[in-house]
Amino acid sequence: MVFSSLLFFFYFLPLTLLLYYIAPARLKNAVLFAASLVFYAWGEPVYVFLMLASTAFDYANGLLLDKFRERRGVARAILLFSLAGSLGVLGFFKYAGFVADNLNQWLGLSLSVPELPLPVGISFYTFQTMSYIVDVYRGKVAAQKNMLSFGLYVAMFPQLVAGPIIQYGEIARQLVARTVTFGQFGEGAALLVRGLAKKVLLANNIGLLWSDVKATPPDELTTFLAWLGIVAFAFQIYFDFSGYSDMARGLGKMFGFDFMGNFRYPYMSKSISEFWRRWHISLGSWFREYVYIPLGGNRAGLLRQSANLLAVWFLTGLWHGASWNFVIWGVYFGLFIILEKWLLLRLLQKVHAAVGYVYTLVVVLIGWVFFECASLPVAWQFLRAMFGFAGQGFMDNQALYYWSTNWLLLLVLAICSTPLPEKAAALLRDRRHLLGGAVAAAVHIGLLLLSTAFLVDETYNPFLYFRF
Amino acid sequence: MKDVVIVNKANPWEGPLVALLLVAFTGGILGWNLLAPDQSFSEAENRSLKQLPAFSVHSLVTGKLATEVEKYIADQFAAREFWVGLRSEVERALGKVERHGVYLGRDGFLLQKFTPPAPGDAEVKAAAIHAFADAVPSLRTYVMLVPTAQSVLADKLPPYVSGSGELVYRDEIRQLLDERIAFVDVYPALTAQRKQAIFYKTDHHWTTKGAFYAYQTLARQMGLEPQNEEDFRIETGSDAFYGSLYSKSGYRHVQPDSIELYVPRAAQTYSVEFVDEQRQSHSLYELDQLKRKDKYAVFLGGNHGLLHIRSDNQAKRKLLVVKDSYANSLLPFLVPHFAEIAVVDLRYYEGDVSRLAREQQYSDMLLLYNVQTFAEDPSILALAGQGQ
Repeated sequence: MVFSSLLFFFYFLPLTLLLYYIAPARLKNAVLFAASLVFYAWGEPVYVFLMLASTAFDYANGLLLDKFRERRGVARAILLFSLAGSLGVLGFFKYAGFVADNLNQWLGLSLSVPELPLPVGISFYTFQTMSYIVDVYRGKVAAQKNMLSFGLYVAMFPQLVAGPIIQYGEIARQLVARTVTFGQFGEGAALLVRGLAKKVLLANNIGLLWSDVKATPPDELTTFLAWLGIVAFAFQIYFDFSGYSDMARGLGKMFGFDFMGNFRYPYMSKSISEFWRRWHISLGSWFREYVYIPLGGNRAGLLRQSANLLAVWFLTGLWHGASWNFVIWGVYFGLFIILEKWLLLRLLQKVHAAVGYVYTLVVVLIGWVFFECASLPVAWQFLRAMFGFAGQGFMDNQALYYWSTNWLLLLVLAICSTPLPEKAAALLRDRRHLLGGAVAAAVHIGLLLLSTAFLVDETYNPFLYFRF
Repeated sequence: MKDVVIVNKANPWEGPLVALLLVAFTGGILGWNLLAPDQSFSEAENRSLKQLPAFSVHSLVTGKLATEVEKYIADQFAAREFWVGLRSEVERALGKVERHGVYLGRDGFLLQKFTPPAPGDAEVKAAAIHAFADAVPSLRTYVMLVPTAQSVLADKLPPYVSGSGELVYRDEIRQLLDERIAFVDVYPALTAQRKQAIFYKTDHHWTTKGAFYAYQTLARQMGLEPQNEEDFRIETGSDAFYGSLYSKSGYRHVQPDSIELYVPRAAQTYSVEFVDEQRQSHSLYELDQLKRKDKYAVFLGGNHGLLHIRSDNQAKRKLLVVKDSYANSLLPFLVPHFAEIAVVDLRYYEGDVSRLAREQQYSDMLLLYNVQTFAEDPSILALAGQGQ
């Protein structure tokens, strides 16, 4: 099931809330866990068992680690066994076809791999269980003895299919005991509604523009339309993904959980390093914590640090999908980040701030071309169109049509990519009397009504993370 | 850049108010959806609504059940019509001028967007027509591909939208057809009358007036003496026609069309046999349909696989028409010119058309489609003789 659907908002959510809040405290985790299984099984009636199996697997490994924590050798073996298991499952379902294709092509083999659909959310929940096992091994967190609490950590529907990737320590205490006030519940509801509006009103609508541009052969694109198209995609993926994360956080709050923020105005960054501190923060933290730092991080000189960064960015790219274009996309960012560490950041500090913004946006936009064009020749052609080498001129009627029917939406998107709306809302909230609250509530219910209208008459509502 | 830290002094009212509203709204809709009886048909959208799918283990495991339940929920959603209208208003406010393949044009016109078919489509369709001509060489074959409003009234399209695609595709077909086939070009006649109401504003069809001008062109090309507009009494069948483009687009602010009927002043007697339905009639009109939603069905009562029109006139020629719904409003004009007219709609006809043509010894054949149906509809390939 996805959040941005009528089924979720008007059936699943009210019923789950009802059951959760009438259940006595000791049953609340069970209700939430059962609801999460229904949520997952709705779209993945078979793979729900895979998720349960990998949950049970690392639950058991966690207990074993706890039992053998004094014997480092055994503990290490358990750790490696668990990681091999998790990476094995991820590798089998996500990367087997990709690896086989490449081996076949380079070594002239003819391996064949069954073409299985990718289990939804597998990259998110395996990363969560791996973080748990590593943290138990390191002694950073205590092993979870209660199977239900652990199951809830992995399967909790708010963050199950598209993150944020929560490290166990962040919510260990909330899994056992949590309270929700009416105000917190409302704060969560508001976040949920804003997330829904981001996804349904903003991302889906501008996504239509990108899907039209993407359907045009890139050698027929004018320069203007190529830029318009990739800007549209940049907005689509940002509002889609951050909207999803907001919905996850909002839902979490409604059930008493506090998840980390996953996006912080990434398009307001002045360098690529900064962009990645603001984009999909939970993934960045994960790689930092479990790959970059274990590899030595920045403690062994700039050269070693650069190699570590390249490794991290290779993996970050690959995490987004089993395809070379994602690897290139990741390494591309890795190279800019290395360059920034060596030189660029110091240069950027000497020039006007605007240079930093423009530099970051251009690099990110070009990056999205690699992200979105699965085939390299197509990406190359698209870049040629962006830089005026496609021979189609700067502007034509098609480009004018898309501009004239989307500029207003683009303006809204641009404003919503900055903290301005949040600042305006903060002004409103500061008036601590009923009127301020009522206006804020009216805005939220308005967004909910509009989102409902867009869901009922739905034309285009993609789930973008099926390859993650 | 410094991190954006916005001091959020929570307004004590906001949280509880949003919480109450969200719970009341989602819970209220849930209750409404569960209690209200399901609808089977949407008048405004002119389509059957999805019903609760049957449960089976197979459909559950394959995920088909999930998809169908979600369609069911959307179709049976509380106050569906309100939401559809709301969405179209929001999109209009944002400056969008296209919904579900329909352009919101100038002067209240809705126009059907043309999507060119895959390359090679014209060749395949032309080959099917040639194969048919080869199979029944005695027929004089006329092909009329009618450009829709988006070509003829291209100035009604929204800014920067090109209406040339249809004509490009039609001319491609025209070039491919050999000299045995007479191509009937109604574009000049329609363009000449473009100031008149020759297309509906809310429907993808031409009006009776548009069909009439096309008929005149066709008759001349067939060597017949066309009737004039004075030969008819023009009656308004309905002035509250919200057509297919209204249904499809969701634009609810547009004005309705009126449907005009051309009633011949001279008496005509003919019979109409609806073969599949095993039914006879003495009229090409079904006036009851004017009370329903899809009022264009007043012509012939909609589309049928095969019907025969037999007249008591002195005409010698017999005509076979292979057509889409554009023909429905034009056929009445042809009645006095032919002793017999067989009308085949390949989308519903299951027989072999070339066999029908040979057995019944028609003298002429008219292939009449609007360009868009011709481009989209694969059933035309049945002309090549594989049957369906």
